[in-house]
Amino acid sequence: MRGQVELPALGLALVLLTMTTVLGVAVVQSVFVDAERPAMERQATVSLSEEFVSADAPLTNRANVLNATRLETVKKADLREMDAHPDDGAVLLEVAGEEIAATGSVTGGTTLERLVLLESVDERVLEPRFTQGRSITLPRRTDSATVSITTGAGTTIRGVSVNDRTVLRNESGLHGTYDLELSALETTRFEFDATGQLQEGDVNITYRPPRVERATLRVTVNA
Amino acid sequence: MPRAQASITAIEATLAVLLVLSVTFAFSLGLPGEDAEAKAQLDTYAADGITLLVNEPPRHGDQTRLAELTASEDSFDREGAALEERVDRILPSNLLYRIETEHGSLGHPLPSGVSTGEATVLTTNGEVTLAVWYA
Repeated sequence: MRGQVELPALGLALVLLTMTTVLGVAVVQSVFVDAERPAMERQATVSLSEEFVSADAPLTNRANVLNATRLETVKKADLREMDAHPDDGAVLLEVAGEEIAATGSVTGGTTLERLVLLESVDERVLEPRFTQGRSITLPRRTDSATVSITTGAGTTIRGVSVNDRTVLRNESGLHGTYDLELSALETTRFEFDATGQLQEGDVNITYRPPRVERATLRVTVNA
Repeated sequence: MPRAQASITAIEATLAVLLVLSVTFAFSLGLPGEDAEAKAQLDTYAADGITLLVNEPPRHGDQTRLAELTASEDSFDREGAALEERVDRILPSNLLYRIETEHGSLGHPLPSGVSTGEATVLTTNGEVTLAVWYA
């Protein structure tokens, strides 16, 4: 007799246990899915940001030093072609708080910031007055300069030397614009070999010192 | 025999439900949260900062700026202030830092109870460690 009384209770217990198990598996499943999505996004942010700042990346001059001119040319298509770009997802690239490019709209997602320096070229012109001899020292180191010589009648510049090395020479006189390659590792001193009186305006030197400012590169991935 | 005892089946079912629930609960606790993310970001900051510093040209005769810093106590004293200034210009203003070498340390004292990010590089003269944390 007893066994028959237990039968409804057993049925009820089995139903209860089955429901709890199903519920439990559902919860665990959703926890796993939630954990996996940010992990994939995180992986993508790390790889993408590495693709932007590594020393041999197209945008960088050195590791973590971005070329500001090349940065401006980054397009949506460039971003999409990157190796780490998720197939179905959106990526937002920001530098110094400004959006550079985005593939799709990014809301939420996972963000990683990298510290970079933005290197841009500053063009400056120096017009020596030649009141203190015939040499002039550039105030900043630079890797290239353009010397423009427009002497008046009675003055002839026959040679230009940089740090005691002759870089331009013409016995009958130099005239015009000359591009010079310099070393960015040393201070540059120009010396002019001239006959006659050199005056302000006879020579002007355009040089291009790098300008560096700090910035953060932020990659946001929404996959 | 009096029938007031609870059914064995009901007790077994209750125990089984509790067991399943406890396993489920463990899963909701065990996964890493935002702390790990903040730490990863700080480690990235430190790695980037040290990468920028290690590529800096020397100010005197040694191979790089950091190599000059770690060469000796004298050179540490000589280079320290200028490097501190440099680090201030590289790191964003919401970060504090400490630089450690075998000849001494620069920057702010390390805090306790705050998560920090660290990165170490090897120069020709010794190791340099950069630690950063949120101000």
